Amino acid sequence: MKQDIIKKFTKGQIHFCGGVCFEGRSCALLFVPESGTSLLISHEYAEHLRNGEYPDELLGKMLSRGMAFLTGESQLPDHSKSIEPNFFLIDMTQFCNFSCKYCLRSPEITGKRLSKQKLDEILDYIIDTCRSNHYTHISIQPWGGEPLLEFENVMYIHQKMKDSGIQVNISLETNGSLITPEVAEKLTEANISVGISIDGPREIHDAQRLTNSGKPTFEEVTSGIACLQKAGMRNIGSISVITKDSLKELEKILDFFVKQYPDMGIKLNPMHSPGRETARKMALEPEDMPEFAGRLIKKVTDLYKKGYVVRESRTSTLLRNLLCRSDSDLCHSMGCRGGRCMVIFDQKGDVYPCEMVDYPEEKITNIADHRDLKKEIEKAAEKNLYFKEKTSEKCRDCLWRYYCRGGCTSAVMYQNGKNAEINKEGCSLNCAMYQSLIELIVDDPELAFCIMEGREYPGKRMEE
Amino acid sequence: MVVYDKNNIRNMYLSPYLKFAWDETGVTVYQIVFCRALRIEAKREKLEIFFTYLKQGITMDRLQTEIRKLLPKADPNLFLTQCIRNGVIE
Repeated sequence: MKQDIIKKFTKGQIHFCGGVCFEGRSCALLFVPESGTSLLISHEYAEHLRNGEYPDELLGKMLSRGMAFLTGESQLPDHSKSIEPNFFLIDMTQFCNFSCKYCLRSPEITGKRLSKQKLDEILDYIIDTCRSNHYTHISIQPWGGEPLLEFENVMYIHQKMKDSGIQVNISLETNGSLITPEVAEKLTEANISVGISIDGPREIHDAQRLTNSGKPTFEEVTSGIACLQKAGMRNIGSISVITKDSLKELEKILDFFVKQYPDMGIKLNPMHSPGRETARKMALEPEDMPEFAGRLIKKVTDLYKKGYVVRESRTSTLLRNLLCRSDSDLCHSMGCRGGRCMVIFDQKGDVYPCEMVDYPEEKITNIADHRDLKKEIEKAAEKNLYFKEKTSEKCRDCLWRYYCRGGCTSAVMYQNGKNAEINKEGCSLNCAMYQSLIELIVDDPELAFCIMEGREYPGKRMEE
Repeated sequence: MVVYDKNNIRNMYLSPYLKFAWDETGVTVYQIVFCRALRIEAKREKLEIFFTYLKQGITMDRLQTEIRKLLPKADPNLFLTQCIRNGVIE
């Protein structure tokens, strides 16, 4: 892949702010790191740009995408710092019937669950926040521990929010072991999205996810998935933690999902925030990330070429960032928006950014104070460490700065308790992923579009 | 998604940077780069045909003809100017 810098220029009233042109076998991609926008062009147009020629018709398209400006026009608005709390996590319980080797929550934190009365107060506070800010559509995620230990309260959230008239997407991330046919039917009927923690085939899963008494859990988890499928639930997701050990089996993990659960979404979380000292050796390090990215993209493209549709979220989200600049992913589309868009309620009614319930110094407010959430976040953003911008010399010239902005804040704080540094693992992963995905786009744009949209690749050749 | 070359660069396309919020009387189109919103009121089936043309790419002349057919209440020139200025059509 060829890579050229296209310097800033002015033609008539049009100003181009500078960018990079990547050129591959099929086409070229003009990319502006400042705005995170891009334009796919033919080799001929790429040649024009390299020679300092700017055809008018191309400039028109660049204007439409915010890659160029007319004299007197202002810069593009930046919404990465806007405060719009619309994703609410509720810490339902600290109990869990599993004891996964890499869990972020400390094993000594046990015995605390959210009371029905406090849940009611939290939901009232969320409803008030929505009404005073005119939010018509929000997301709530009952969190834990294992949230299905509080199944009745989960269904209560559904009912109370339904009665409020506010459109709510309720999603759960669960170990799946408590999903019975009855639970599955109720979750499906309530249209609650479910993501199941499953690390891949039996031997990989059972090496990492165990019960509190140390027993394997694959059987219980897959039985829970079967119940959801039987109940007719659509869009079941999977969440798999990739550790140093399971990275060796990455291809096997992807094969397992596309062949055993072809309709299931796949979310691979490379482990890089060891909560427990004993788990430190399991975490991927920054230098492991290029390998993870390279093998992930290669395997996903190979599977598409064989006729499979792989619903893997990281490749599709990052492609969407590059080609449509989607702002829908709170973690990966324009840096971390935890705290500004996503907050968590703990069992005392304290509100924290992202998942930071175990960090008392990061508290934003308490629901009993009945203060306006947006204003309280604004105040917290002025003083709390969590909201401080992550800085690094490296970021200034990084091509992917629009999307990454130093990566996951919670991961940095879990690792070193302070938020002055960038998330090195996230940085390394983003750099490797974006570079490889651009190569894919300019070599085979149709394949890239299929992966982004999760549809079958027309150039497939079926596996024998 | 489109790769622009000399054969299609003069065609009009739907911007990739859009979000749609449908309701009973039409659609609000949000352009996420410029943070602008454009309200279009018409029956959903007609608007979907309109957007399909734009996804495939359409000449300016043909687009004006289609607007007259699909959105008879709209002034085609004014409507197109609004769409282009707000980054909905490129």
